[in-house]
Amino acid sequence: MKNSVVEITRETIISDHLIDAVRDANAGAIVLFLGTVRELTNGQQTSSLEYEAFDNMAITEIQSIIDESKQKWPLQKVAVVHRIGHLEIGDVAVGVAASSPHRKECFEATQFIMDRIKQSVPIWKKENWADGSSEWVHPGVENTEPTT
Amino acid sequence: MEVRIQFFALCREKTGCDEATLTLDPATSLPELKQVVLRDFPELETLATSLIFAVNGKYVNDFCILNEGDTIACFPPVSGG
Repeated sequence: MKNSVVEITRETIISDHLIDAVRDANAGAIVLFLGTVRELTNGQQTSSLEYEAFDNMAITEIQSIIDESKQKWPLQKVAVVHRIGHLEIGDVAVGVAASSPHRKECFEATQFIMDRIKQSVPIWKKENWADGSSEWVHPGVENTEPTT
Repeated sequence: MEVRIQFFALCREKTGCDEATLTLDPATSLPELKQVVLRDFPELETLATSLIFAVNGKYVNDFCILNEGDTIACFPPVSGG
């Protein structure tokens, strides 16, 4: 556990904190990924997003993804922070940082961790569209009726 | 036996509650639980094929048997990141 940091926060994500959390004397590479709030999705304009998490389970799931990544790649340290609550365009919603002796495994591991977070961690986003309507994003669910 | 069920995201909005108590037969399986949830919360019917259940904070398979006092989470497909 001491070589990883996992956090669900309502505060602004500071990328320097993620980088500092994975600094290591045996690391020759640090990779930082930031997921940010995008304004346009398939031509539809986003005004803001609301994120909700099942906090305890989300932290456990992220930790198990990190454990799995450490079995696949020789990682020194990993830090994952996901923000919840109200986010504006350009805000950082999620940050993943990893350190390793060489860059290749660091790039691969960071992508793996981020892909898995999107697949299985119990966090949900709701789009507040610029036209005033709102809609939960639930992949695979059809007829998600907009709520206002 | 009684279990606690928590709803998240669209499931919470559709049911209008964060959590509820369910009374189940002893040794209820996950597929049986799903039937009870859809019976007690018919507003979730449109999500029936995509509902995800976790038990005591962990993903489980359909062979999972529930126990008295379990806490179940019911939610739609995740969309973090």
